[in-house]
Amino acid sequence: MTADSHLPSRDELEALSESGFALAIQLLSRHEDAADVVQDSLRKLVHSGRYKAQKGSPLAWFLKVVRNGALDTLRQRRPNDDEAVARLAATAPAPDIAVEREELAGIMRRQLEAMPVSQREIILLRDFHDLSYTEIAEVLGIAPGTVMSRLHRARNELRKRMKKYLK
Amino acid sequence: MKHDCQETEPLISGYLDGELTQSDRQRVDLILEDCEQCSLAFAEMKKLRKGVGSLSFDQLTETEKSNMTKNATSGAGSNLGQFLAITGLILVYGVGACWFCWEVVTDAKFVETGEAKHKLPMFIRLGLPTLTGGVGILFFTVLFQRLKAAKTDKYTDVQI
Repeated sequence: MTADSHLPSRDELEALSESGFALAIQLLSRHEDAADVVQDSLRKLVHSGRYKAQKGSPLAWFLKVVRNGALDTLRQRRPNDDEAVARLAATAPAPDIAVEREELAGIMRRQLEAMPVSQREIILLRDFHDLSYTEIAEVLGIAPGTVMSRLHRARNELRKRMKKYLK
Repeated sequence: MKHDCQETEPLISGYLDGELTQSDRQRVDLILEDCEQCSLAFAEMKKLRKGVGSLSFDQLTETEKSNMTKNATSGAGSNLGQFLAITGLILVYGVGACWFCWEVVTDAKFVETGEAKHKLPMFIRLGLPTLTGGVGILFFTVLFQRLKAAKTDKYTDVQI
């Protein structure tokens, strides 16, 4: 960011939009929805003028805005979720066949998508976005002291789901 | 080292992420040396962490990224323009209308000159300010509705 500007630079905006889109697509799984959320979040960032004013990490603040937008979209989408999940389950191959066909990364991604959003997001914020516990607490709006136990519960859930592939 | 695996496990996550205090880190070091169950949990979580970190997801194209940045920043200028235009309009219309209405209601010209030909009839003295006020209220109501709609309409950029 330039010293005389209240706005982030174009490079900063592009970097933020990349990270924001990664989180949005991880939560929403649909390109158009994720792009809409990131566009709205960028507008909020530019128009609110909070980019310069906020105290913590700009990335954590932006991811918080993206996450809230993605959760709003998920809430609006909920009536069709059952249908979407059913369609996904119908097209997904049986686990044993899937092992032969897919790589471990594909299985892990599918298992993550099947987990509750609250568990999925905390794992991704730490292990994919590489945020510190303090930043995760800021994004999720929770006390920093609770991040470790929540993250551990989420990791344990993923570990259970991936148990047979981890050997 | 004597410990309860259930209680220790959350510390393993913190250990993995480098978020423990020095004393907790040393404690976990000792536990991992002794306890098979905890060291298995640590190894599996480490593997999962690496796996999640290397996952690939759908990405924005360069064009999308560039358009998003452009849309976000171009809006900032237009917002400032809108703000200045509206402020100017409110000042000119507001002050001008108040001055005009005051002149008409008080029949200032007639009071100043005292000539009968400058005297305004009562329906003009009351009607014109009412009309001016009504038109002003209507205009600004529609203006604010349009501005609000333009900001919240998701389909502004959709090309048909």
